[in-house]
Amino acid sequence: MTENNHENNDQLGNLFEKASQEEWIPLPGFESRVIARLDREKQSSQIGDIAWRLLPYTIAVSVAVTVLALMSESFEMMYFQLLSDPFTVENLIALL
Amino acid sequence: MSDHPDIKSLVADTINGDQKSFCELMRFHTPMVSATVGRFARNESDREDLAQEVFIRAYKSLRSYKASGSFEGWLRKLTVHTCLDWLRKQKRFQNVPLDESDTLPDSEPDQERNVGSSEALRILHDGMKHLSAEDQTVIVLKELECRSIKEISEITGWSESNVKVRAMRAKDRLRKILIGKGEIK
Repeated sequence: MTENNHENNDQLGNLFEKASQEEWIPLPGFESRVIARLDREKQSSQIGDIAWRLLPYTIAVSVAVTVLALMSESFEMMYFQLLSDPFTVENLIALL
Repeated sequence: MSDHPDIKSLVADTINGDQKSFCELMRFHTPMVSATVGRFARNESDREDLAQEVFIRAYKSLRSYKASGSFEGWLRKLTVHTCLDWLRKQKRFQNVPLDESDTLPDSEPDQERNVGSSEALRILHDGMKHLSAEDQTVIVLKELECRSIKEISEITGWSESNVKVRAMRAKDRLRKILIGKGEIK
């Protein structure tokens, strides 16, 4: 190994040695902050869990409402009106 | 450091939902976790976030801890893997190219430059951000935590020869970067 390599090995080694002495400890109350974060994560995962469980019911209700709307008289009227004269702007707006 | 005498019962109680036991586990292991985290991250909020993340992950995966092994060893692995994941995420968001200005020395380095531990860590981190997350991990474990190749291999799950080669190359790259930045001669 050349002298230069020795020198920058020493300098790098010196940096490593000094950096390894760096000590960090969290501010007081660390444990309670972790518990608080854990509680928040638990709550949000519970909300997500409830939403996920309710999803099939939400879909079922949406489908039922749509079916009922399709079957309603007013929709039927609009539908037949549209069939008889499908390309008028009023009919399209009314359907929307 | 050996495990707390009641560590297994603390783990069991934590699994059963006792938060006091988990607090006790944290109190006992915070020095070890914070020492490692403090070498991977430099600013206070990153360190705090990382240390919290380690304990959150530990809490969530306590069931995977096998009581036959040392809890500290298990937690150390978890700490290093959490730091490695954090470094990977950092790399994804801030791709730091090693441009010409990085390789040109700002000034002639002092012959006997006297730096403190924080300054030394800053210099190393500034150089290490140009390395991959894996190379940074090997440097922290080998050079700053003074761990053996075997230990690093056990912690990271990489083969010993992989660790050896990676450590050598990473150190070499870091040296070149620091010479380029004028931090060392």
